[in-house]
Amino acid sequence: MEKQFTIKIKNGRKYFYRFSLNQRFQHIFLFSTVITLVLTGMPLKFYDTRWAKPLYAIFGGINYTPVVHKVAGVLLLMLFVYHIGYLIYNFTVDEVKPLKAAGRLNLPSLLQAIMRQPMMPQWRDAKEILQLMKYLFFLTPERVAGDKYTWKEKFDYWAPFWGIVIIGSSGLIRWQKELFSHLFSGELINYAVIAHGDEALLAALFLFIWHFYNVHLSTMVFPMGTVFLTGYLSEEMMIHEHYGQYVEVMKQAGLEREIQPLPGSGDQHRARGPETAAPVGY
Amino acid sequence: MLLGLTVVWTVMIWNLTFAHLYKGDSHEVQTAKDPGREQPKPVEGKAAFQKQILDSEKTVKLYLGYQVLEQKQLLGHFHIVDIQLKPDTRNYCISCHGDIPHDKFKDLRAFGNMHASFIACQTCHIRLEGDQATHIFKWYDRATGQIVPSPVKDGALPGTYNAKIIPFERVDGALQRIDSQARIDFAAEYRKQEQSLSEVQKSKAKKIIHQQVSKQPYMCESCHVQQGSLLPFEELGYSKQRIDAFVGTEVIGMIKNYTQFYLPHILEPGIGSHEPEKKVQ
Amino acid sequence: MRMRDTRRSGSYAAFKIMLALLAAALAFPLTAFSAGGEIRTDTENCLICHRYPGMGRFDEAGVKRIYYINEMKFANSVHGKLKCTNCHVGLDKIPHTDIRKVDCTTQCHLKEPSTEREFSHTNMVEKYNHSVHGNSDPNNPKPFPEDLPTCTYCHDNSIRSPLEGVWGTSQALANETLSRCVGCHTKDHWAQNYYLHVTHRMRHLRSQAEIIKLCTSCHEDSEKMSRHGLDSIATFKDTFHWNLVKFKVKDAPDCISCHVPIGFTTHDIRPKYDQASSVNKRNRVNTCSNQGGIQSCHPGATDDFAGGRVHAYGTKAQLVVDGAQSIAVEADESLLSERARRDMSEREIMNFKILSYIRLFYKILIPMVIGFMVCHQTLDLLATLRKNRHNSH
Repeated sequence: MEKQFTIKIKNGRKYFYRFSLNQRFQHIFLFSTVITLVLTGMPLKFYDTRWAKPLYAIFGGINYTPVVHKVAGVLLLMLFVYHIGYLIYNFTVDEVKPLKAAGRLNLPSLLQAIMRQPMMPQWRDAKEILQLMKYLFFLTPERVAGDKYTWKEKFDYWAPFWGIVIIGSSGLIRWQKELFSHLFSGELINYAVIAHGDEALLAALFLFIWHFYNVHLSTMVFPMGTVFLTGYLSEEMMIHEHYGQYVEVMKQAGLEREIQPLPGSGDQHRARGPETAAPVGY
Repeated sequence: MLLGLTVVWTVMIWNLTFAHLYKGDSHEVQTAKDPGREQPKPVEGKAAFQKQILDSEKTVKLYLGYQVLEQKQLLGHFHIVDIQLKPDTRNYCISCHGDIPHDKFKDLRAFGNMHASFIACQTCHIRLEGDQATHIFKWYDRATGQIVPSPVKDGALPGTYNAKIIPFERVDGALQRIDSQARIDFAAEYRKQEQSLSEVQKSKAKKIIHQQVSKQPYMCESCHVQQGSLLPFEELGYSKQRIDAFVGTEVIGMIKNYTQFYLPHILEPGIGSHEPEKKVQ
Repeated sequence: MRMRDTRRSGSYAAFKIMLALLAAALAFPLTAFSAGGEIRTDTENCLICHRYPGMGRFDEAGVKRIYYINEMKFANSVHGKLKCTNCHVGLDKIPHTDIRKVDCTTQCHLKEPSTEREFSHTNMVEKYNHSVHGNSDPNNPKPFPEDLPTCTYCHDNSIRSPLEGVWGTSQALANETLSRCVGCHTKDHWAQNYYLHVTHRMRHLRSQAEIIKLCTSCHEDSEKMSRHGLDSIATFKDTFHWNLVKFKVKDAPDCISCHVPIGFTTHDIRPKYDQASSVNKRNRVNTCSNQGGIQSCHPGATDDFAGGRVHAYGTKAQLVVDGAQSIAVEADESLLSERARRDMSEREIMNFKILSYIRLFYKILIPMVIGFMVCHQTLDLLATLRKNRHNSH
């Protein structure tokens, strides 16, 4: 793995390391297969619309589009398997081995370790949501001080996670219907047809409304967030989204004096950075 | 700009989510309810109009292997029609009376409609007398309305000409088509304003539109005679063979059969006189 | 490349010859007519009137009736050798006062070669009368017999057509076959006719979409269907089969692919509880997996596979689920409710419920999630606006 610094300073601005190359790679793999799947799948669900046939034709019409869809689906499932392996590996290295070394490897400690994982939903997330509600409904000017992964990002993570399980399994059933009918009732195919289409619709809408807005279109990052390519997040965004982690990292780096206040917390004379984040090279 | 963005997003989201669901719902209601029990009654007349008039015009494709025919669907019709006469854009009679106007006399209506596909209404339903009579008849194109040279010469199949015969009249010494632009405009204006006219005005307008219409139209034997036919067949481009067929024993015998045995009264003045056909609603 | 060009030009020449032949065949009635005579098939001179396209009227029910005969199309149709009065019996007077409906069981003075008896469609009609569309049982007459399709509801006087189309890949086949015929049967026209007589029956005359249009013209009419105790089959359009039809896949499954598979006949469609039906439990695996060794859509199909519902559940299942009491009250009135109780097994009802729950689940989940997201994004946008304004002061 490449050597990464937690804070990188370029042109006098700080950038914070967030995603490893491996993670970024997984993400690129994920979104390219998902976009392909949406584009090749939706024309079948909305066969009566005007855009269905032209869109289908782009991918080679009825003879080739299903193949594209299936290939993309298989790649996505492979990524899923890889990701599970990646999780287990990291978990073993970071949690199980130290526990074993300390001789405290038992079920409760394992469960505790699982609950500690950064992507697991925690009590703090509920509080964050409550705080956000207050902010959104004008009850407080103070934004949420998000930690390393905010509840939004956890949502972003678990929704596709669940989606891949449902859509992947129902897709496989639709694909290998004869095979699956050896194991289950033929009626399962009908369930799979509905689940595949509806879940896919939900997933697509989720991605384009929720995820796209949050990471690209919202006014802070418009027109496009670059962290998914560079792995670094600008200081401004860091403060905006992950204030908790920001403070922590700054302290670790010995930069306590340069810590900016949380916007809306009363300290209004902070220096405002430029509106748009400049792309970063490393 | 942000507000605009919000609106665009909202509309897009609506279309993608709820609009689809609502559409899906209505589809399901249609199929999932027992219509015998629960179907809400639509406005009956309107629905019937929709079903019988607007929806009934469907086309059907016939795959012949070497050709695909698409023709008007006539449920239960056996023989292949495969001919579509272009709509007559010039004739203003059909805008009220419809394209298949003859309905009154059971034994004659199909014949009447057959002739109406290549003879303008005015040819038979207007008797030009005296100075007005010119004995000039010409062909006009159904699609353009323009006078065209005789289509009969081209060896086209009978009745498939896409042209119609129209009489000429003499007004103040000048020769003109009987379906003059003035008359067409008058009728069109009437149709446009019909809703707002009083009953009296309507009667008056109708009277004027039908002013020329003769109570006693020309009948079969006006043309299907050996001598003195109303229509100048030769001038209209018919070959000797066709003319012989028109006035031959087969056709004339058939007409005699009609006039003598089935409809002896039809040519008597006053009886069976023609009001203009009932208006197609 | 050069090879290819020559081959193409060769087939193009054949194509031109064929075109000329066909044009000659088609033009035959025309030339016959313009020579002043009558056309060959019309020995009764009916076309003296009936060749005019405008010949027609509206009948008392407001239905358009057309009495026009397209001479060329008729001459090339499967009935092209018949006289008008062979079928239109009694139309020998003018005006036609003695009109009888055409009866397809009429013997039409053609010799049926295998028996040398006069030909008629009696066999087909008898079969049909015993099928699900017929009304043969006098003890158990069907309600609303006027809804049942007649011969002409589905059949028109189809034009004889070659395999795949004259200009298609089967052209070589046609030439090859015909070249063997005309060695003995020296009249080209006759041989061509005979060839077409056979090939006409070897291909589907309608596209999948047209078949579905024909069947659904009744079977999607939920009013008509419910008075016969049947589900409307609009749910077919929820299936992947329909997707295939919609996207014009070759060999996409239409109604008859499963309901009249190879080895069955359209005239003898049986209700699904009849053991002779292709969708009867006994035959279903075969229908899905292997139709007489010719068509094989789901080769690995099992009983369980074939046991699944192909069109989603419709009104009947809904009726049963909607509650026993409403059915009990109206059972006498509604044939559909009665049939629903009879036809729907408990297992099917359970499956229908699961399906409904899955649908419902997504029907709630999608709007909920999306609604939440939209609210959040809108509020977030507003908050940002507020902050920007605040900052700019």
